[in-house]
Amino acid sequence: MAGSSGPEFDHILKLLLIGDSGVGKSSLLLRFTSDTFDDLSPTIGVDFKLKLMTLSGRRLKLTIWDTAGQERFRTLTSSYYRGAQGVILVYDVTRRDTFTDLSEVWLKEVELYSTNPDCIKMLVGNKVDKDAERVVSKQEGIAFARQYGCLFLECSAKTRANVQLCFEELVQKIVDTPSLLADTKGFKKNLLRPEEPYNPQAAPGAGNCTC
Amino acid sequence: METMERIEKMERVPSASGDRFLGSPSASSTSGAVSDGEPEDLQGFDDYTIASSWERFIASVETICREWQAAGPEGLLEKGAISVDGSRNLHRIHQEVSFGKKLYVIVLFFQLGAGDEIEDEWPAGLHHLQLWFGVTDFLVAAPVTLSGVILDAPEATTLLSTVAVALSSCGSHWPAFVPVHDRTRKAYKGVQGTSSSYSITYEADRIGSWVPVRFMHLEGLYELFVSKVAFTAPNTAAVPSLRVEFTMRLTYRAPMIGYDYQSKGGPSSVAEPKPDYDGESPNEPMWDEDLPWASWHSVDDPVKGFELIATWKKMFVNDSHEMSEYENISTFHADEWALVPTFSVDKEPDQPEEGFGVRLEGLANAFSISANAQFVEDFANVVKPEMDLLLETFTVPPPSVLERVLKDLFYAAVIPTGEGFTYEPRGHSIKGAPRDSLFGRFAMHSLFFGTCNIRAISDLWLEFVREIRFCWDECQPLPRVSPEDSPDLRTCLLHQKLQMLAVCIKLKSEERSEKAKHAPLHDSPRVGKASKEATEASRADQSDFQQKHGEVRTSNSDVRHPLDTGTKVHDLYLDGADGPYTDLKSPQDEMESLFHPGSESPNPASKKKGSGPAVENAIVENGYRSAHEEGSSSEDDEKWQSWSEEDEGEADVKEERRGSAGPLENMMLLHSYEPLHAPITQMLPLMTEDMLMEREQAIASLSRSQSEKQARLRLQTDILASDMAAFKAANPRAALEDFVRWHSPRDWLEYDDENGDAEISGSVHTDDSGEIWPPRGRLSQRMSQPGNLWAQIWDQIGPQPACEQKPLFDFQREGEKVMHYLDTVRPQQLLGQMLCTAFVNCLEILKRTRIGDLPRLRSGISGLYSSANIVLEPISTMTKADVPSKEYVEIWNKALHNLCNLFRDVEKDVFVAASLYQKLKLAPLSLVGLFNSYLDDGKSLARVAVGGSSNGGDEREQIAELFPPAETGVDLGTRSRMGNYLNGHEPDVREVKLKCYEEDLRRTLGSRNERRVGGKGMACHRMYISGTANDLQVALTVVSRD
Repeated sequence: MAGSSGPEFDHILKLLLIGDSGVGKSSLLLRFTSDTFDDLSPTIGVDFKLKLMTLSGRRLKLTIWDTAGQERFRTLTSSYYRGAQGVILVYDVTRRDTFTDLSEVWLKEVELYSTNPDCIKMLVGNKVDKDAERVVSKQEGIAFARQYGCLFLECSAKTRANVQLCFEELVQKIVDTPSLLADTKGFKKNLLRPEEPYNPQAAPGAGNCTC
Repeated sequence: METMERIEKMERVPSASGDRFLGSPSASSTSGAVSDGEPEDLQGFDDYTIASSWERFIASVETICREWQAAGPEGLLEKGAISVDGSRNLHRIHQEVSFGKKLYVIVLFFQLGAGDEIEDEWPAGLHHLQLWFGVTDFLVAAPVTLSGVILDAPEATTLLSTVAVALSSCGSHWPAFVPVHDRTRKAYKGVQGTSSSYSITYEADRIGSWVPVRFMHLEGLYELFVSKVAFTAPNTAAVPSLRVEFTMRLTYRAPMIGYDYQSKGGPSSVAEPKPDYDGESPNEPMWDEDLPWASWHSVDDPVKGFELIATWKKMFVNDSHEMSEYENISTFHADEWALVPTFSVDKEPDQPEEGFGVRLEGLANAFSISANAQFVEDFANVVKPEMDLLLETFTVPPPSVLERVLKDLFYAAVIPTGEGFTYEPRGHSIKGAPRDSLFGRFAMHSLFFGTCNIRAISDLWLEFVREIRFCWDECQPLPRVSPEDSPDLRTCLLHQKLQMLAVCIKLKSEERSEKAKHAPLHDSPRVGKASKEATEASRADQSDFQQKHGEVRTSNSDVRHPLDTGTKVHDLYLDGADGPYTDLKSPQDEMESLFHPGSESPNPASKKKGSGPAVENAIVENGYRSAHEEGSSSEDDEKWQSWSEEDEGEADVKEERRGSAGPLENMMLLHSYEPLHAPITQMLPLMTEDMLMEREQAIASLSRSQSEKQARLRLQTDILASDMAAFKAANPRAALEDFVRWHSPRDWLEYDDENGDAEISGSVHTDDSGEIWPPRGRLSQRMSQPGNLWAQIWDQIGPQPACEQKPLFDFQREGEKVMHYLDTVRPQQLLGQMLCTAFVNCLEILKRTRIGDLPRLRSGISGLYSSANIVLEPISTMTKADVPSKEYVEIWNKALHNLCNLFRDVEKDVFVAASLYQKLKLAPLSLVGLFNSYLDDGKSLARVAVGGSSNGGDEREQIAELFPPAETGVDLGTRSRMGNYLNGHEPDVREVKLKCYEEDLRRTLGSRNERRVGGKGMACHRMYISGTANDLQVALTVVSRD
């Protein structure tokens, strides 16, 4: 990351999409990055998309990693949790097992492999356009998010409802968390921070936000 | 006692008294100086000029006193007053003044701030004159000589008179003292004027050897006091019974609590005895031998002993009999108890400092020097002259030390599992290595390797790498690193590399043993058995690893064959890919080698760790696991063998089934109604953090042109392609639908009965259970779309068992890459990782130290963690590409220096806390109080009150345990004893203060003199006595008037 930091953006953020196979992770990402919807082939291993966005005056480069939900790929995908500032946990509102797997499988993976203790988790219920087939209620989603300390949104990659908002909220939250933002400017800025180690009250890296 | 009178006379009639001692021919040569300039014959002179030398002396003392008086306490501080060590706010200022040929020094002691300790009868941190005479601010006048005391009486009287006259002239009421007699007697004389007509005289003296028995008992002391005060009172007669106010302070000492104490068996103060400790041995256990730092170094016990101070507040006695009763009073009933630790004296600057802090600083210095060279060898074998200059002061420990370290690292039998081998970065994000792992322990050893300089560390590192190279070349398991774990990305890169190497060595030795055995190929029953074992072993618990390991190795090697067609798959796959990915060979040749590391190497990888769980999970999903687990292994074997035989029979006619991990229950191939076999799949590639970053960057950068996208797709699809090829080999008649049902079950949709009309194959079987075959279903929408990538690969890939495929993970190559990294790591990167690892481990040691419930220290430790995080986190994540500039290195060094100092401060506190906790763990309240007092008041004044109102629970019983029962020595019987025993101990010091108010005295003595005493409070006579059997210090304060 350090080498590529140029003048065209202020921060690089790494986001990760996880969840059972077929819940619509790739579709969400496609909708967000190119505002299209397509029946995509199931993701193989790990895929990646880039998105530049500006949020409250900051130019951000989002590197979004899209993972395959199949079990066979899980050992592979687990290494991509490294250094992610945000993790999006996706489930399908029409399939309850995809919802229960989040707490039984995916959250544990986050615990195990995330190297960033402050990383923001976001819970996303996809496919709300299929309202007739819905089996997981919004209240259940809210309860889950409250229990595990996540952001929460329901959206539809097909109708584009809430998709943009979902990524924006997550990024906003990351930008508002100084400890997460501190590491996003590359190596050189970190070097300057040892100036302030003996002031434990000051949040580490808080000074970086203003420049 | 007559001094005051004399002084007053002197003032009024100088000639009358002046000649009495000033011109005395009997005066010694020292006092002879006084008469300097005077006519030898004083007869006939009634007057002295103002310029007489004595008057000039008085005038100069007076000037000094006026100056001090005018300045006030704050002003005195500006004039250079200094604080008195070991006191609370007592300061001193001095000035020298000459009198004739002699030089005197006048010292003013003054208390800064309000004297709020009046209420406390026995405050801590008093100057001895304050204690003895109950004064606050006072003057001391002494000659400037070696002894600092006045050896003869006339000189003392002169000096004291001088000061008293000077003070009186400036209207000051400071008491003044002069030291007299021998220094060891601690004798003083003093006077003080008051605003009333009373004046006070002070006198102190000491008996340093044999104390009369009478004065060893309270009774005798009472009589001494009464005789003294009654003597000076009018209408003198010694009165045996006088109402006297009395307070007492007893001090008991328990010296050298640490290991010295253990032999005495004090229950609360000792560490638990070690069962293997030989009690006969003169080598007492160290106090810190079971504390977490003990395996690295030992620390001098900071607490050398305890004093227990028991005090009784104001009491009244009326006669000597009453007084003697107080010798039998129980110490437990004292009004106050204070526990005072005796700390070890601070180290001399030239003594080596104890603890990790100073060592870490050495490592930090090595880190800052490490930027000066490209290779570690440059520091070990000095060839460049400028490097020589830099390193000449550094020494390297002898080879025997090096050998010992390497022996511990590589030849100690350690099973790399458990707490010491897992890295849990709690409360920080510094990357280090687990404390017992190979690199974690290496970093700790480096701290104690010689003086922890860059030269010694470089030597150690080169030997360390040499040993690792040996392990790799000779297929010896890497010690202290588990070959079952994939690299932990939360640890430092070096540890990840070693984890990677451990896995590579394991795979390499498996291959070797397989080659040695030359097992026959294509032995189907054996393959079946072996693969089953492999699956089982991968499911086996970590703890079973040791037992099963060998078995797994051999069984795995059974499966594999030396493969001469290694590149075939690769070609085949590429051929197949030629269609859609036409021009992908050119774009990234480098990437090619990076992500298809095996293209040059024909070595097959075993499938084990990576694939095991995945297969197993697939099995679970299909409801197979229970059946499989319930069945006994022998049964399974038979069944599997029969499957295999059956397969072979079929293979004659049709394609041969290869690389099966066994059939899945209730899973049949859609077209042929054969059991669906799970294939043995390849081990997934392991990646260290730097590899992962490279891969991430590669994927991220391959997104522009179509050809790049194709190349990227291929990067992503290698595992899927491998799985498909293996699946095809294990199920020769399978369709994509079968693969999807196994690999991605959610993309297979089964129809409900009513709307199912999709027909997949012609013939319809009926199962034993009456199930309809084939099941009605179809691939999901996204799987069945035209141009679906899965379908494309399925069509392109040919059947090939995992063992024949090009390996996804080439252990040979990856192992060599690790060795290359170790050989060429930049010194700065190496030292940075060592520093972070060592620092985190030392921090953990502080954190794990048992210190009881001391919130202030705990928060100090966590503060240290957050400081360390800020400074070390960027160092620990420094990558190969990051070359910090000189300017940043400067900033780093400063920050590291501060961090090390902070560490030392906290570490010292931890030593004290650990020692106190060890001794006081049964008295937690006292422990907390004492530690807080240590933080607030410093070593010299640390104390805690035990019992009483200020302390919730009464811990006197527990504290008394610190003072174990005295041995019944022979001398106790013969010696006279003082009384006031605690656990059979006499107090080491017994101090009493006796007071008698003038009023009481007069009432008792029937004085006819009715003059009232002025001033604040009632004037009182006072005596301080501190005594034991061979030491008696008495200080008397007597109020008198004309």
